Amino acid sequence: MSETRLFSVLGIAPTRDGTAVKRGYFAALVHHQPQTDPEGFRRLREAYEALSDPAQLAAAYASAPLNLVELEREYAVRFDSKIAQAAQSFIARERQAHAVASFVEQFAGTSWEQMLYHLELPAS
Amino acid sequence: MVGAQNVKEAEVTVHAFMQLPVEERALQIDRVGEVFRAAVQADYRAKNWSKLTSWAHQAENVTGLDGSVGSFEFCETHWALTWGSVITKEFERARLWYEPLHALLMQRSPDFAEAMLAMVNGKPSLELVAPFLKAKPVLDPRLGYEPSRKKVSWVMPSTEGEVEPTLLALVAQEPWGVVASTVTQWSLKSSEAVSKAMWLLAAQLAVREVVKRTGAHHHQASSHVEFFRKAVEALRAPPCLSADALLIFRILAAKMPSEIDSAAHTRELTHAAVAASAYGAHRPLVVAVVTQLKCAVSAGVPLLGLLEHLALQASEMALVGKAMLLLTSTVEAPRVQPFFLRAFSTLLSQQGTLVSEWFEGLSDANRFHLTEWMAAACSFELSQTFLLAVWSQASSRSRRSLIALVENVLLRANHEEVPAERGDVLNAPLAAKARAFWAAVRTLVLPDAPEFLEFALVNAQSGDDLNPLVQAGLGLNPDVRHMLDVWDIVRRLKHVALTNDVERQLLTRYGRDTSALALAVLTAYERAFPLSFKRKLAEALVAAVEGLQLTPHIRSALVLAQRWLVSRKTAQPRAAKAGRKSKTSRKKRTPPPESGFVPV
Repeated sequence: MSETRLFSVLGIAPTRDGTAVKRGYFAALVHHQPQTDPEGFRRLREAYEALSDPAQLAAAYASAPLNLVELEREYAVRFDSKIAQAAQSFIARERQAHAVASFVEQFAGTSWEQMLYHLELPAS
Repeated sequence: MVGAQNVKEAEVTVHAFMQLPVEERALQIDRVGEVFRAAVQADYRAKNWSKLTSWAHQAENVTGLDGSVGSFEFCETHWALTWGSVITKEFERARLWYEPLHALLMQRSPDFAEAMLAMVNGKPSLELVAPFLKAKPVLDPRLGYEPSRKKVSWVMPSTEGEVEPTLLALVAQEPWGVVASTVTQWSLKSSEAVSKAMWLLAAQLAVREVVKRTGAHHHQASSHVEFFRKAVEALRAPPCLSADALLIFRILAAKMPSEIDSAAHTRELTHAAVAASAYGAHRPLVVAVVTQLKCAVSAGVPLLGLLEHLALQASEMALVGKAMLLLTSTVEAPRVQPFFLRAFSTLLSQQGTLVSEWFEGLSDANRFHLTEWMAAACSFELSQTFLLAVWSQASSRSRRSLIALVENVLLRANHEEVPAERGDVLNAPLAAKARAFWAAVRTLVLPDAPEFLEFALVNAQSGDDLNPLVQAGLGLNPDVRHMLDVWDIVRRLKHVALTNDVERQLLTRYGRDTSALALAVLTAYERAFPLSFKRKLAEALVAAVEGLQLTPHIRSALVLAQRWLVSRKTAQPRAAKAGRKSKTSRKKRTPPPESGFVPV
């Protein structure tokens, strides 16, 4: 049986807790009695025996699929608006810095007379 | 135009002027002022901002050097010294030089005057300067013009408060490679607190990237995971990243294929495993996953690196065992091989039972690969220690692998000593290199590998050494033919006392067993044993069958036995008469009569 399916056979969420595995087994046993559902019981027993081994339990827990969509949403809530905000203020700062640099580039080094000429201002 | 030489002269002139008493300065002010203004203009045209600041500093308390107020040269000098101070960020001085110009500009263009005022105050504003910027020509990509991406020079955060906005903006604007290298560089230059804050936030952002990339898009996230590992290491596994470390490891472990066939996948998982294993609570989980990974040969080397890292923290059987199995198939791992052999050796000496249990738990194929590799690549001492440690608990299937190990070690020793030698190791002499190995393991393997008996007896070092081997050999098999084999080997070794001892044991053990004795007689006939021995068997058989109902094969044997005994009665007097010992008849042997049983 694939490691990723072991927890679902017991009807529990992936866990590292051996007691939770035992609880899940006995809860599932009610629905898969050996007399009435021998195949279900065999699967249940197989999963329980596998998860009773600490090394296999650890490996199954680590390899159990995660809800990545949900995780992505959590991280989006945690970071995305902050990142967008930081990006906006960064862009604004950059635009300002760029404009100031252009202003300095344009006027620092030009003479007073040239400045008046460029701005089409009267010399006196 | 004022040249460099003249600027130098101007400096000297102004300096000398400044040394004069105030009342004498008035006499020189016109001439020196002219020199000063010319020098300022020269430095302004050359954009020599620091020199302009120096001029501004020297002249700020001297009236008249800048010319008459409102004059053209006055404005030019003030304009130049204003910009010199602005650019060197001497805003107070800039304000001082700009002040007379501001009034003039307010009359001509109040907006520009305000923009300049903000500039000299060190608080330039986009809204104020924008109207005075020249419009740039529009670049059209269709004409082959691509707007060049302006390289942003990021300012390193200097306080903890600056870390978050800077890093978040960095992540928003730059590809991850730039983020990772920038944070790494900044962390080297920052204070401890700022560096810590940077690693922490950047690590969390790396987790976000891993989640994003592996979630919807199934992209590789190697560089992000690697960065996260570096962050955990740099921060010495802070508790606040523990959950993130586990999360990244689980994400990658869950997406690994059932058999990893790419080194890139292994590397990605390796980074996550190293980060997670930095937390003691996650280590068992990491070890459990890593030791159960199946990977192709190409992906084995990075995995060996990970196993080494984990084994350096604590050398567990599962890790070392996994590494040993990987080493059997990964030839490109000379770096880690000595490490794991040492670790394996230590485990053997300290926790032999664990090694034994691990070996028992392997599949037949893995056991075969391991023992074959061990015989070829490990020292004889390690093979010996391993065999002695696991033999007692080994199942019969495992013992077959261990016997193959013995055979391969002997074969290797033979080949190393006589490279041209090939063929059956049991028929070759024992190589000197393997003597200690063989002496240590022979009594263990003999009961399970009787095929080694002759080799063991032939290669015994002395009579004392031979005796226990013979006794062990006799106990290997209750069949009389096996005992005859042992007797025959000892006889060929020309060890008379031991030959007689085996003879005695045989006759004692089977003296009343007519069937076994008959079989012994027939075997002796087939193998042409010396007549003296055959007669002893014959006597025993004749004595044993007295008064018994005979089966055909016993009857055949009896006929042979009686013939041997008769030949002795007739041969002995003839030999005595001729003065020589009796010898075995040189006549061609004939099958025993009247039985239908024909010895082959």
